[in-house]
Amino acid sequence: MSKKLLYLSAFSTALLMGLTLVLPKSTSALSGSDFTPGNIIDDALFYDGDTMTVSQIQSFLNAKVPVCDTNGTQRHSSGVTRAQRGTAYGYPPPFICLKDFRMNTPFKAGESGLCSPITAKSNQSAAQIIHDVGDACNISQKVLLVMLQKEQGLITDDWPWTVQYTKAMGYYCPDDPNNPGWCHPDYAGFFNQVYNAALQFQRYKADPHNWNHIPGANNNILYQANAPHCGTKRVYIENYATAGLYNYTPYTPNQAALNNLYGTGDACSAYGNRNFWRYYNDWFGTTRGSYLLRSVESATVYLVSGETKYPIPSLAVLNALFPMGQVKFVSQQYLNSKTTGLTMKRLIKGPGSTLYFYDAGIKLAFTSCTTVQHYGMTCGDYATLQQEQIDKFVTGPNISDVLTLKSGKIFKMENGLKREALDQASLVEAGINSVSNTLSDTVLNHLQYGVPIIRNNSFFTDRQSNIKYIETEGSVYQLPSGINNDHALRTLPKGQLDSQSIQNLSPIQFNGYFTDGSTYFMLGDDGKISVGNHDDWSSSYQSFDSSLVNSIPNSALTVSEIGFYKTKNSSSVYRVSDEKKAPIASWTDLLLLSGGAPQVQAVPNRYLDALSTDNLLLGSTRLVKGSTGATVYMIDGQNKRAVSSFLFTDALGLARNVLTVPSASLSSYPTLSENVGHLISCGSNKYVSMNGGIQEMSLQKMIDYGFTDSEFENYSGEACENLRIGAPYNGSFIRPSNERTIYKVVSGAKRPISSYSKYIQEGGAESNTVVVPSTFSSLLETGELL
Amino acid sequence: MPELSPKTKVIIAVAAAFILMAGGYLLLQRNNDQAATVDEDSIVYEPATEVEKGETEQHKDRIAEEQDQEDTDNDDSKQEVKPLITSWGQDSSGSDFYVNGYVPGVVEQDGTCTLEMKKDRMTASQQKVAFFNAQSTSCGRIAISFNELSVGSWQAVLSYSSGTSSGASDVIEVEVK
Repeated sequence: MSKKLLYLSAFSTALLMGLTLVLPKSTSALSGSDFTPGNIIDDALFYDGDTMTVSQIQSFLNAKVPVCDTNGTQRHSSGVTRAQRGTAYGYPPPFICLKDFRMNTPFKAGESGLCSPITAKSNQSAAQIIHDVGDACNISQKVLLVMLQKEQGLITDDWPWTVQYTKAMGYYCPDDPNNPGWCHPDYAGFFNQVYNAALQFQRYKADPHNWNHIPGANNNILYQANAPHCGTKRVYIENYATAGLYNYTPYTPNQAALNNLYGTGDACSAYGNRNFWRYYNDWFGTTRGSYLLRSVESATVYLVSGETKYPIPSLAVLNALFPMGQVKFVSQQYLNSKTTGLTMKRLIKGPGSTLYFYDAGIKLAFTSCTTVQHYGMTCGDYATLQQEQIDKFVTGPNISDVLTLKSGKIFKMENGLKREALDQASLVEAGINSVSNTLSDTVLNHLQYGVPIIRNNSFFTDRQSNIKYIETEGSVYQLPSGINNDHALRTLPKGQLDSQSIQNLSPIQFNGYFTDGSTYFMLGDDGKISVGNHDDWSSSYQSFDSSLVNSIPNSALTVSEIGFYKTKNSSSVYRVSDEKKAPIASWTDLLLLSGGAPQVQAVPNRYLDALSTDNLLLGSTRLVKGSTGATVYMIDGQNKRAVSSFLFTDALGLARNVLTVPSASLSSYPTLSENVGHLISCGSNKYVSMNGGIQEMSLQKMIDYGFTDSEFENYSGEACENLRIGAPYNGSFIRPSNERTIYKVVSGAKRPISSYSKYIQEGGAESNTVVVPSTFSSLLETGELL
Repeated sequence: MPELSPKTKVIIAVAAAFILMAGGYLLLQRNNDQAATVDEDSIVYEPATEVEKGETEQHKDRIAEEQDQEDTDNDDSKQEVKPLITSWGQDSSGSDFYVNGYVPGVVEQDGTCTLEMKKDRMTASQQKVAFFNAQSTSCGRIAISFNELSVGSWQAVLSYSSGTSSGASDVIEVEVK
């Protein structure tokens, strides 16, 4: 690349970027296709006498004509100076531009309901006059400025003639060949023109049916004043302001005028109302306002329809009215000019007699006042909308007394209450076969909840709290927590209801125990659990109809009388009786309590949790000691016996494995007066503890040993069952384990044997000789030597 | 003075261009700020556009033309006007059939508007004193009792007469229900 080309490129880039930066932002041009002949400007923009201050009006006028050609020194297109041109037609300089115009203004008494009085003032500027007239007659100052431009071009004229002030608004200025530029003297002049035009617009509005064009109706409107052959356009005039403009200037632009919005059309074109619309848009923005209005002073939003403003009570209602436009600010003065109607409910009416419910841009016709009452309203609670307003709502089907909301909730409206239905089948079961409409969730916010409609033997959940319920035979039961109710009741029809619906029920607390009258159940995580020992678990079983009970699936679990019980999540095992649970101290105890073959059944936590805790259960023959004491005991059924020496428990075959338990738990076992000894009675049988168990002692042996019945301690059945029973005791000879001497037991005494030969001689043999604990041998007195 | 390298010359050229560009932008921006502003009330404070100025001049030329024309127009005969029926129907009371209309092209008081309705051999009519409007003469609403009408298609015409003007509208077919 050459140096020259490089420089050129750099400058070109810079220039391009510079241009990009300084080019004005593009603006969206107004198009004739945007012109709506039936709604040239909204009422809210038109009938608002507080849209501009004097200062704003003056600044606006100054901006439009920065330099006034007061002396007419500029050259007119005809070739002469403006001074010469004006003088030729009777309007010599000085030319007073509107921004510089001043005059004395007369007193105006005003007209009731149309314009308030205006006091006489001197040396008033045009800006002051425009402001004051707008304020007194409640006509927008912006509208008055546009009218002045549309009629005489006064806003942008930098050398206006006096005649333009004389007929500034073109009000009551008939053509008179003898009086060029003549206006009726009562109405001529700048102030008179502005005042009377504003007053006239209020007259149109106050008596809308007695002028040329009628709001809220179809009207034939001429295209051109002096060309009847151009014909008319049929226009539905949507509002007062538009009717007022057509009443004032009775022509509507034809397509040619709209196609060339900033120029001229054809011989059938009229430009008055087109230019009004165009100037307003160019100078003050859109002419389309909103029917939803508020002021800076108050947060209340109103729906304005004709001369009535309806307060909107909530955001939900406001949202439902979205076809009425976005909320716009107007002066409080404008709002005050409207009569306040009823606070908006969900009831509207157009010019016709049909009442509509409305929501989400749709209107749904009511077919009777009864249905209106079901929705908590009366047939007199409507807001009256104008036709163009009501037409902005899409017409939906007739509204029924059943609604499905977008969230899926179903409601039956009844005497001003909304009754939530669990499902369509619930409605059918209740004999309600109405076709429902689907609307937004906020549509019924204003209604209180009624008693819900729930079909028989159904299962439902509170949407907000997630609490579960069942309904059967007209009663509602709150299901217990801690159960997987969804799974347990999976075969029942199910649904959800709002908390407010459920508050209208009187749910019965259900503890999970139920019966069909013959079988007893607890509700488990996977269905109904048959309970064999039902009295042990609860004395309160809810009676359900067998149709419901049969609908609940069977659980894989059962609860039987012989069981020990635990929960799924815990290893703790309990024995249950009399609605109490007794914890088992240890696996060893469980074995002792169950006879060595424990059957442990799992039950849902809540059922064990709900039972009060009984004393710790210890197995019979279990050796225990209290946490605060040193004494060792042996459990004997519901009691305990002190162990004075492990020789006694060794003889019974009990391991020296002493379980330490809380002393309080141990104290629940009463201590029997007799310690653990060697003489045991199990039922009618007598035993001696020996060789790791008990051995039955025959009556003869009792005589030989000199033992009486009363010396045998009665042991509980549980203890007896847990002791190993050995062969019958046949010890005619004994040898204490701590001695070498063998004794022969005779007549309640033990007689030492002097020699082995004597032992043989006395009949001693291995089969009838027993090695006994010293504690046992001490039970016998020692006799003479044999 | 030592010779600058080509690369240095390019850098200097681009920098100079940016300085010019920025200065120009700031200058134009200042002028723009002086020229037009839009305030929070959507009021556009801009000078009249060429279109607006042109329309103003045209308006003034029309004033001149009308004056020229009026100077030569000495016809004293009645002006022919053509009233217009703008709307019709049953009024809210349900007892009358109404027609609204006006007289374009004249602005005067105390003329007479006459609504005449015909069907077969039946004729019903009603008169009303006209009144001036801003830029026309209004007949307002003229009502004829249903007692004088029968159900069916009627022909309606609105005529106007005053000291200076007279004329009748086109005949329109209206349905009386």
